[in-house]
Amino acid sequence: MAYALAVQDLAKYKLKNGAILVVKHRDDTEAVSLQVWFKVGSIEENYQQKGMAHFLEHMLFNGSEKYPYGEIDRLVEGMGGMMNAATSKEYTFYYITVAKPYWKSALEILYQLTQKPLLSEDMVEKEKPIVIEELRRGKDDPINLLWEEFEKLVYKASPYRYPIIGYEETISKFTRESLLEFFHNYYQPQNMVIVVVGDVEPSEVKSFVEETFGKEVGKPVKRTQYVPEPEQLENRFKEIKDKRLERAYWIIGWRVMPVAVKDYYALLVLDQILGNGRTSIFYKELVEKGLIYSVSSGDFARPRDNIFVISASFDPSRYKEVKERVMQILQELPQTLTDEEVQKAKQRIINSEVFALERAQREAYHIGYSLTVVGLLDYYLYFESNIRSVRKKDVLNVLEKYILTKPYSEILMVPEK
Amino acid sequence: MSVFLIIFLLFSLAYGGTKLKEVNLENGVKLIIKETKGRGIVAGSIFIKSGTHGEEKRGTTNLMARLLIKGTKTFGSYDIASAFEDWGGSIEASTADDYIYLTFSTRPEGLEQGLRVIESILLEPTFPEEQLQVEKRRVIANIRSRREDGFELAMERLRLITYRGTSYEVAPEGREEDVEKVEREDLIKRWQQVLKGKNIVVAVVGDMPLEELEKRLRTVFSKLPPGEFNLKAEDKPIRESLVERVQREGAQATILCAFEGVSLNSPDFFALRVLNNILGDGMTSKLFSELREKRGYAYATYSAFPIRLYSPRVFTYIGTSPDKKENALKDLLWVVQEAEITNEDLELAKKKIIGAYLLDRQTRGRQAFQLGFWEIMGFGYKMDQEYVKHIENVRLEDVLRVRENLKKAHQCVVVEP
Repeated sequence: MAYALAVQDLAKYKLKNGAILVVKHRDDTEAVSLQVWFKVGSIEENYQQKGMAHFLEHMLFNGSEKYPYGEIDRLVEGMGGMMNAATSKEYTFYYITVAKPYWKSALEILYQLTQKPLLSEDMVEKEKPIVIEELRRGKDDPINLLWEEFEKLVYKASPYRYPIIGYEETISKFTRESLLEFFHNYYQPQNMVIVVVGDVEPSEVKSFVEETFGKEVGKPVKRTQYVPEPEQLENRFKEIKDKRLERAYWIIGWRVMPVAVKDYYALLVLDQILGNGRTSIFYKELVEKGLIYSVSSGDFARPRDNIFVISASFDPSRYKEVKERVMQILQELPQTLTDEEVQKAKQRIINSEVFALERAQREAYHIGYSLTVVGLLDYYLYFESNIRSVRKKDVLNVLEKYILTKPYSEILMVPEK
Repeated sequence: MSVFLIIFLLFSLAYGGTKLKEVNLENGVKLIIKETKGRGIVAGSIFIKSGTHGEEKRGTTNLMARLLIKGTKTFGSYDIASAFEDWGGSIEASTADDYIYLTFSTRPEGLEQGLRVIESILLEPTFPEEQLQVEKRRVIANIRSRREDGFELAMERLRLITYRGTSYEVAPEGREEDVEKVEREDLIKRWQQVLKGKNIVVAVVGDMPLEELEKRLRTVFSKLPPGEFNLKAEDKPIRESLVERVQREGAQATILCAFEGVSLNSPDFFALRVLNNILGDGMTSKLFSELREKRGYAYATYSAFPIRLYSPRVFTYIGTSPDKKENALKDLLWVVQEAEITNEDLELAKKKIIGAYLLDRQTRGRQAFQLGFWEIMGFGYKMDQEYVKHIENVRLEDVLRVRENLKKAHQCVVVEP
């Protein structure tokens, strides 16, 4: 054990093999959330590997040394637990939420699942049509296509431009060997964060983790060189026509600062003011005045080449008017924004965290994301104080620096009649 | 002790609690109040038994509910949202087939203002004309956009077939041609018709002393008008099998089928909950293992047994490639009607149901919803605690008996490119 840090009932340990364990003790819930995070997502893939991070996530459920195929599902469901996993562009994580008495069994399952998978050839072949169906399901959804196209428009060099799911031609060529190589590099202690939130004793969790995950050998991760996205110098626009559509969908986005840097929190306050909830400016000015049907805004919380987007749906004939009004709202904000509005927005963000953390799994996610993607537990630990310290001038600086003076990318999807 | 009893006892300590109270007001309104301990959250659900039953113009109730939070004699739309969002919470109003519901969440410090707003929403809504026009356009756009999505389109068609002639035949949003004709007078009339004490259940769960909650809720809800809005029973059995095909461009075919369920007061109700789980809920379910894992037809396939007052149905879904759709349909029917069901399947399904039910109640908002839901659907709020016992008592012979219902006939919609 290298070191332990204890803040707010939270214990952070670094195991000898490099794995990080965080245990957050909570006695207000009988549910325990257990999550295992790996810093690997689709941006690590070379062209032949497109879709592999996600495919591997599927494969881990297909049998491990201790539990044959199907056994884990039966065990977790037999404890009344919930198990799933998700792959993003930056991370992959596996989780089980279960009642308190079963946390050890659940952790043992997560250990076998993530560290001892069989990845057998016949299961690789079994999984291919399933993942290809998942891909086609995505293609069947015009909104999913719209977001894929939007990222292709924003990113010209960065691997963020590729879809997580990959392509039929890459998926169909995956083999046991290619998956094993990918697995051995990324699914090991030095690339791993284990998070447990619930009414559990941190030292007991630590001992159990040392006996399982702690036995694995850690080694440096060979990372794919990330190709940064060059500065965007011009506005970009793309229009797509789709026969299935009944209304227009629009996304406009700007390149912004990475997640968790100093001025990032001002962006969150700006986002709250502009597009979050029924009290937001966009809701009041665009939805309630009948110009658009729906609106949302937010950033992608990426550690590099992050983007902030506004998306809306409306009648296709109103595109020009919508864009003009959105731009007008943004341009007028420096004159109209009051200190009170900033104060209220900050309070709303801070208060809504209380609701978000009601579920143990939500808190575990916040911790896992902080350590795996942001690389700092501080993002989780000091989130509230960082929001509290934002001033009106910080919000306006961010608006000026990243949005009003910078080029944007926009995509418009309209019905093809 | 059985696994589910352990889980149940534990969760009831945390989520059940002993401080639960029922209050029957003179006007017929029922209050269900529960005291919890935590970081300071109060959440509630106000149910009005009505839904779309007895609507003259389809979609009136939905529009009315949406407009409830758009303005009252005392508060504007922004003030209504702000009373909850300032505390990090929210307020929503919508309509399901059998009830209207308002859900809210706030911090204990915000409850006083929140209840002032709720009182005004219930007693003096203005249904502003300008907002009605905006909402009509939004609803019509929503109705049209259902055709963008294969599943939504299939469900719209299946409702027309399986619930023909009943109020469920059209989703609560209504029909385009009707929504266009809805006027402000219709909303006022409908509100007067359904806002009757005996139709109203209010469930509130919060980190506040029970007595204080009761006092505050009594003050507000005693002011509601007494009386009852009666719903007309309208059961529509499935008589003949039928498969309807609908053309839509896309990458996948969507298959959605309906089977005859059992009514809420049938002794077999809980057996059908279990059967539905065996067939189509989770990774160990029959649909998942037979159609996805063994045959590779799909990424997603599942079943559902939504709780409605009349015309009970079990629905099954699979999204598959166009070339697999005929086999997928044939095998889906085989799984539902013929695939072997063992005692092991039964025991696992019970644990799944109980685990998911309890984990779902981690938030006060979900606890309040669940308490109110059981009451409004006629089971009584105590079903919240008794549900586990009912599920546990289901035997294999009950499941096999209730399955005979699903064998009688099926109605399917296949949306195909």
